[in-house]
Amino acid sequence: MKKRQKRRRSKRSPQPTPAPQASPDEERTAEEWEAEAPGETAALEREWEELPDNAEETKVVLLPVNPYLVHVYWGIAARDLKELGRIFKQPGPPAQPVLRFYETTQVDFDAAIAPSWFDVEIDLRAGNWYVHLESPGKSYCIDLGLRTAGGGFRRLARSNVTETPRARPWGKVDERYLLVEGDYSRVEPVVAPVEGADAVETPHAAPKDGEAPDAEENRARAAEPVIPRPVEATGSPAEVTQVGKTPVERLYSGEQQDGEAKEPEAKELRIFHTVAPGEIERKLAELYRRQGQEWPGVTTKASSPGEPQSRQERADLTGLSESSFCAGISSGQN
Amino acid sequence: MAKGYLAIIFHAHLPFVRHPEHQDSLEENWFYEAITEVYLPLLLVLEDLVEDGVDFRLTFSFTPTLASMLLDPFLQSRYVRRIERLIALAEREAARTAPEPEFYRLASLYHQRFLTLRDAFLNRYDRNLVEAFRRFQDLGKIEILGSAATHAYLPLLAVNDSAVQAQIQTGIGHFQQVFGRRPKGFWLPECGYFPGVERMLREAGIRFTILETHGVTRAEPRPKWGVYAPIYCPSGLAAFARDPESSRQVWSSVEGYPGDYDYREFYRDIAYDLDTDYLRPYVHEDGIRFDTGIKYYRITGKTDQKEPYVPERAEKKAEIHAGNFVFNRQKQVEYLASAMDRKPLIVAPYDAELFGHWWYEGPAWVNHVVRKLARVEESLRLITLSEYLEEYPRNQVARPAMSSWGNEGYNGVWLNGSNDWIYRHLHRAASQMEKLLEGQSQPGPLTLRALAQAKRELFLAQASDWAFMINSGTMAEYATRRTKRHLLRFYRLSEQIQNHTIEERLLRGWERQDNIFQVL
Repeated sequence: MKKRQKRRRSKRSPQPTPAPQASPDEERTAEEWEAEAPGETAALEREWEELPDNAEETKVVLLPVNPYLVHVYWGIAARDLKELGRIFKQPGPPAQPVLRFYETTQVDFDAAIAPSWFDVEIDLRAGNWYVHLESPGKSYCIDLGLRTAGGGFRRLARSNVTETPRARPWGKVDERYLLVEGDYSRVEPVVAPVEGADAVETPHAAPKDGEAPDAEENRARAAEPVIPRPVEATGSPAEVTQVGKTPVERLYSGEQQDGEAKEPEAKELRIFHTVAPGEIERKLAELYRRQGQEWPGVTTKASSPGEPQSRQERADLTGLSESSFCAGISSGQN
Repeated sequence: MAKGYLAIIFHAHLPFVRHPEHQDSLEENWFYEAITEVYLPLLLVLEDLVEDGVDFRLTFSFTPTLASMLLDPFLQSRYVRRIERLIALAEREAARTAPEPEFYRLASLYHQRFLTLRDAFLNRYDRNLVEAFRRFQDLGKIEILGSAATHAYLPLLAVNDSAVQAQIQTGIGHFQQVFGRRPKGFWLPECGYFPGVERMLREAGIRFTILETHGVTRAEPRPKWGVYAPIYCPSGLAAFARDPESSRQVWSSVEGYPGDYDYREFYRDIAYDLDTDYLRPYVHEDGIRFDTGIKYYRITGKTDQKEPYVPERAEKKAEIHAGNFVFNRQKQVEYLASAMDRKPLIVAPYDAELFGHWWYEGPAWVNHVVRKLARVEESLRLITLSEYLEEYPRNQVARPAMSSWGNEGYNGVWLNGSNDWIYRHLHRAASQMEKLLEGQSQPGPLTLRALAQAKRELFLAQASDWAFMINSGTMAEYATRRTKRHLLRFYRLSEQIQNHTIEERLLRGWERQDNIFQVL
């Protein structure tokens, strides 16, 4: 091994701290590599066979490409191929291989009672297909199968569920907020911040040995959290902790949970997407009223002409960002 | 007190390219070029800023593949060989160009530059550039983000949760080993976001990530502040988004700064102007031509008649462009601050390799931007994303939209007729990996090694770079070979593990060659 020259450290460099090194025995030249294990590199490169293309089981996979295009690939297991051969040899009108698209967010659904679906006819031998779709931002699951002349359907495999991307911004602004601190030491739904309320001016000092700020310290520094509480709830510390630990995603997802009724506080918070139109607005307004604030409301990006607006209301920053957005500007891709 | 903030993010990544089996590897040269043109120059800029007492905050992400290469003694040694060859070539160039003063001057400057870089690499940084960046992290000047193990494009691996989780967790584990702490932020490779990844990042303890503009502008419900404040996913993970204005000014080949006629012409390298025999000792023993990094011309204009490069003019232009960038951000923040309930944040992520490699004057531009910002602190200030979240822990909740920063903004770069064949294998191998791990109750030492190597091969096959290169047509054959090589090795190891027929010699060879993630 070559001996390195004596190293000088520049006085300008910040103080070093130890970092792991790869194993020194890796420091070999190509000649040393070859001398150490003759013929080994050739053996490593010898593998030029093709990748296996036999399917162990019949499967179909759905992948989104863009808001209007999906890619589907499939593989048919040997035993199913035999069965397919038998079906295609039967007399009468031939069965048509299709990809049957269902708009669903669940993979375990009963196709027999699915409200709607559409078929894309395919050539089974192709192994993959690109399908153009009209509506972006949808969730799909597909069945690979054979449609018989009589209108029957024989499923060969069901795909994963996938979403296609959205193609434009949502029209509605809906004021929901979370407070998250430290390493998730505190995660709580809150009402909209009052202007400047959260502005904890960052001191721009060097961090203390790289550790996350202590949760306690964070609590003391941050603005007093505003936890929406039902009027009737007692709000004991134990309950507050429970709110913090409630999977926040579920609070916002609209999923119904068992035992929901036993947790008045959590229930009170689970107001989004769970109730009839109009009810959400009523509950949000109530939530804000309890904090002595007025709920700004669900607003659309364009308000009625002639209606007076504040500067904040006038500014459609999402629209602004979206209008100057140009996809693929990085990485020399555009 | 500043009216708003700017977060500049340098995403540094290279695929794992390490070929001890070849004396001169063309592909390894990507790495050596990046050290010479990007990582060392940026480090020297950071050194100067600290030396001059300029306060700043910048953000970097180093993918585990790049960090592993930077830490690899074999590649470090080869880099020294490479920079020494460049020094010798520049010396010879100075002799060759002696009768032409404007070229002689440039050749001499390159010679001096390479000597400085070698000195920095060997003496100041002791060959370890990861450690060098880590020191700036420990000083609180830069925040470093974690990233996926091998820069896999996660939206297209999402069929197997385990594959995405392994990429995230191994990436974070490697970050901890290398940078000595857990990352708060995570760079999603290619900004590739799909619904569901936010939960996995949250489970891994990550606080925030960065999306392409439309990942946030198309979130549900509509974000109130566009890309100028983060949103929280329902899981609590914060999603920042790229500001399109500041991106375009730097990136666009038409409107962007790097296309200025005074800047150095990237495509006019002496490797393509001089005789093969002359170049052979310094470039490639087989006489293959590839960039040396010695380039004598400026962009000049839309012409093939290039004029000689004038470093002083280029440096001056970098300063002017830095001033323009800062001025535009100040104006932007001024407007945004008047429209928002908080200080706006402009998030400006770039590929690190733009700075110095594609845009030679990029590091000088960064230097001027940071210095100018330090002088206008009352209106605009640099910040890290962690600091912003500390200041504003309360944010709107919305579900981000599937997005990437690739061409067209979705998955099409990595999934199209040229490269779609990859995914059936990646998905199949990921399912196979799950079975392998489940099937081993008490694996012996050899089986454990084989399992670890199978994981490495799968990780390496999952790198998004291969699909990207196949799509773009550059080095497509190499990318195809790499994909197949790692998948074939994976399948073979998998078979041997299942059949209890592990070939130790073969395994040893692969462990040496594909030696990323020594602890798995």
